[in-house]
Amino acid sequence: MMQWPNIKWIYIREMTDQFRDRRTLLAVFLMPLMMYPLIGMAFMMVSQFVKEHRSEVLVIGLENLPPEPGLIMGNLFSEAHAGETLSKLIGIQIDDASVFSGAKIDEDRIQQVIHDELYDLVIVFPEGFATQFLNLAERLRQSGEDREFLEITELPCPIVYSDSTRERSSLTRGRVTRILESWQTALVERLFESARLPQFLKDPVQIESKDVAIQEQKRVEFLSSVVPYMMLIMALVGAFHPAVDVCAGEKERGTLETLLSSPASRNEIVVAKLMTVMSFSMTSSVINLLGLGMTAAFIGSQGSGLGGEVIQFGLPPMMALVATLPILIPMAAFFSAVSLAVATFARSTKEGQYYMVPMMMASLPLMVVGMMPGTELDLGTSLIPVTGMMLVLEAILKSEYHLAFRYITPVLLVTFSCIVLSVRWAVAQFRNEAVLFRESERWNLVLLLKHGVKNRKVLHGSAAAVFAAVFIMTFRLAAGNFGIHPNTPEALALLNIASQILTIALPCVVLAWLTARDLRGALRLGEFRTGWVVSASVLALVFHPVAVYISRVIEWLYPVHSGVKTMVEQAFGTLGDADFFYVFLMIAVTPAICEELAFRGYILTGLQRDFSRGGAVFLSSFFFGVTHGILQQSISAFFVGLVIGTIAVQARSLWPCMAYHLVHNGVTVLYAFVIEDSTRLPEVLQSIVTVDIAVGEVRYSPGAILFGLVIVLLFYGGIYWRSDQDR
Amino acid sequence: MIEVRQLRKEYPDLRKGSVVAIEDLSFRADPGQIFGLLGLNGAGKTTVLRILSTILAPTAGTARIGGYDVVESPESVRRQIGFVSNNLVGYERMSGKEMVAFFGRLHAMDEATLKSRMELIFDWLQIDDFKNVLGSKMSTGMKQKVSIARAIIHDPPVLIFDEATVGLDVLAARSLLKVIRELRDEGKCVIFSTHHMREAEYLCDHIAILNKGRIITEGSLESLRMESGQEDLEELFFQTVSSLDGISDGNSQVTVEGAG
Repeated sequence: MMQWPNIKWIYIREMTDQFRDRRTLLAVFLMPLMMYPLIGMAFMMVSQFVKEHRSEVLVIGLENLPPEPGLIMGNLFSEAHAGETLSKLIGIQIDDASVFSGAKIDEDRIQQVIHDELYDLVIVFPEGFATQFLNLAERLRQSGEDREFLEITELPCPIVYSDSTRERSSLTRGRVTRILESWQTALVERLFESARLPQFLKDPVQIESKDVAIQEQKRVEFLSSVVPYMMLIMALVGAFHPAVDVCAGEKERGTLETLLSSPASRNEIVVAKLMTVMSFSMTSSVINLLGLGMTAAFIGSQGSGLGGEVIQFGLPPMMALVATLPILIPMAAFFSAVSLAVATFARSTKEGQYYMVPMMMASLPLMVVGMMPGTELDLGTSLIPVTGMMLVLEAILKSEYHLAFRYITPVLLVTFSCIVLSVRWAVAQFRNEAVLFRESERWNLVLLLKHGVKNRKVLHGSAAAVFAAVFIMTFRLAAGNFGIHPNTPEALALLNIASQILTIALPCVVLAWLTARDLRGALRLGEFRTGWVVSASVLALVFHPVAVYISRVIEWLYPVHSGVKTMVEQAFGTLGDADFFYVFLMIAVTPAICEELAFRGYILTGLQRDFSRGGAVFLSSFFFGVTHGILQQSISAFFVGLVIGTIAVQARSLWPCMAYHLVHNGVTVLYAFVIEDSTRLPEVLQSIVTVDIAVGEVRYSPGAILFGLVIVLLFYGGIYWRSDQDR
Repeated sequence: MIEVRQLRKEYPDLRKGSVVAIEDLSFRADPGQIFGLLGLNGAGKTTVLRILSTILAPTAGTARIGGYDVVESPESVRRQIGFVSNNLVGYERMSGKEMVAFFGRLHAMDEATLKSRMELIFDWLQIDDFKNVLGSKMSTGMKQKVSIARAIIHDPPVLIFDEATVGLDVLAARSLLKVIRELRDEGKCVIFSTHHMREAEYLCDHIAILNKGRIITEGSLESLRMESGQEDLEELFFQTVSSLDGISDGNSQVTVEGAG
């Protein structure tokens, strides 16, 4: 039972404490309110610099220009082509004697003056340009219907020299190009006039593009995609600092014990602290939004001249902004709970700050995915934590309420599951004496390794397990890029088998030998109990329909990219012609041995020393999934990993896991290479499973899927009941 | 009032698997008594007191305060105790008055009672002069006084002092000891840990000497003196500890490999 007054008093105390901290006030309130206007001002200053900076241009061969149409008037480009503003921004120097002497143009010298920043750009009008142009115009005028002038040579072309690596030079190039294009058009017009051709012929086919975007939406496009990102980032940053202060700070000041020995229960303390962190997370997010909004409104009001042609700074409607606030609450809760759980590890605020980077690294990709132009809100993306929420926020800001409304349920479901998990994690952290009263450990890698190998314990720990997992992932990645393409399918299979043994099984066996005294125990090679092995095999058969269904759902949610499909087909397509024996060895037997030795053997065993059973199984399955490389495969492998991991923990032996894995993969191979078609199946099975390898499909009847699901639930229920009995 | 039976506490340890901090610990302390827990650093004093204050859970054995078990009903135990630790830093951005009031409210005291109780305690401990000074500005002596005020605000029958005199100057330490005696005279059950023998001699009615997680000898000061024939407590302590170390050197820390 939670005592609300306790929560209230702790919350009030924490808030007062935070508000009395000048750093917090500065970071949460003043910074965002001042930072955005400053960024805005800087932006405006830069855009003015871009606009008003003068370009210096050297023109060589002015006398080669035809008098009409006039390009240069005095020392400026003619306003007819440049316009008033642009004309004044470009200073022209004509025929610098140091660059141009006599008739010869020295290209090296031109390059030199641009590199030396004497000029931003040099234009050379070639000799005879005017004469040839006028000549051409004259011949066009004189020629009659027969037009026999077509053998004339092309006009010599003017050359523009600039340096694209120099900011000012390329800026000038952009300006000059615009002017020259206008002048070119004028020249062409002259020629058309001379030939008495209608002007429209110079550009007979015009493509007209019309933007049907509603003006309002176009205006808010930019901010609608930036605001959700800012809101979430600030919610995370805003949560993290107070989280470190209320956890690590309390440890550092030695007040944790007094609080823990007060009548407030651990749950009440966590809830109050969580509320404090959440308050700051939300405040920080909202204040940042305010700062950003005010700045955007100000820049927007300065007219389109300030980069407005590229980006429009229109604010989303007030109604949409307000509608995002309720969404912010679950997001802030999630970030706060995670921050709190992470911050509990820290012994001091200084140490806590170090955890900020990994937190950011973990959550940034999820936010960036949401920002990417190709990502749209659909059922698949709505199920990704954080990303889904970002896309909903974006939809709301773009006033696409129907879209946001359609996916708000899955997004909220995912977010609430994340909240529940993270709050439970935070509470568990606060109940964990080892975390609350963590002693400092000294870290010295070489010493630690030496010490570790020399004084290795009976079994290795989670550090070694995580190391093994990372090692395998890196190895797999490297092996994948090895670039050997054997030409026979058998050779391909053998190569794959060798790579599995070398990159998955071998590292773990070597590590087990180095880090644990009980080699068999480290790899979980316990007693071979027939009962468990048979049960696991049967479970694999029964669960197969569920596993197949899960992969189907995943592929429906996250369709495999066509590029990935082609890649896989290129790599393994020839296997279809291979002997069944090789394929079975490669897909069923070798993974059953190698992957089990690694993931349920070495890695899970190590993780179990420092994590609860559930936590260890979850993590090992996560690594198991990640090693599979392709996202869709990874997710289904994760689920299968959960089941095999549970078997491993329950049976305390790897043999049933290998049996499960062998049956699971073996059945798939059987369908694909032996049965190929349902009609080959015995009649009893035909009602349960449909195989059509031509379209690459295995389908189970709903009954089989349901049955598998029930059996697995019973399996887990039984385990839960047994562990409950043990307690 | 306090009843401890066969208490055992293991800590997980990265290198050794687990470390036993206290083992087979039993004692009792009664109201109106100052129970002294004596031992060197690392003897397990803090662990015992943290278990009594429900901050840590025992690995085995029971501890009861005022009839409540520390594991089964920690909330009731917490209402019976006031805990003063050796860490005096406290909340830096709160005044003494606020700190004491905060803990009073957590003990569900109503505002009127809280106010009168605070007045009484502040007067007794002479806190009134600095009750509005923020934690970061307080001297060690001030912090110690506020710490005691916080611990006794709800008038608990049991008071736990964990090396409370560490870091105090002679004057502050003396006034603390005086306060503790006065609390005893009020009928409180006080449990007081220290590695300072003179303090124990001056203060405690009943003494337990803790070495490497076990109580090696226990009794009133007189009975301890009688048993060992040593007048001086410090001598007595070293005699007992060193004679024991000679026999059981290195055996007292049991390590359990691969546990956990």
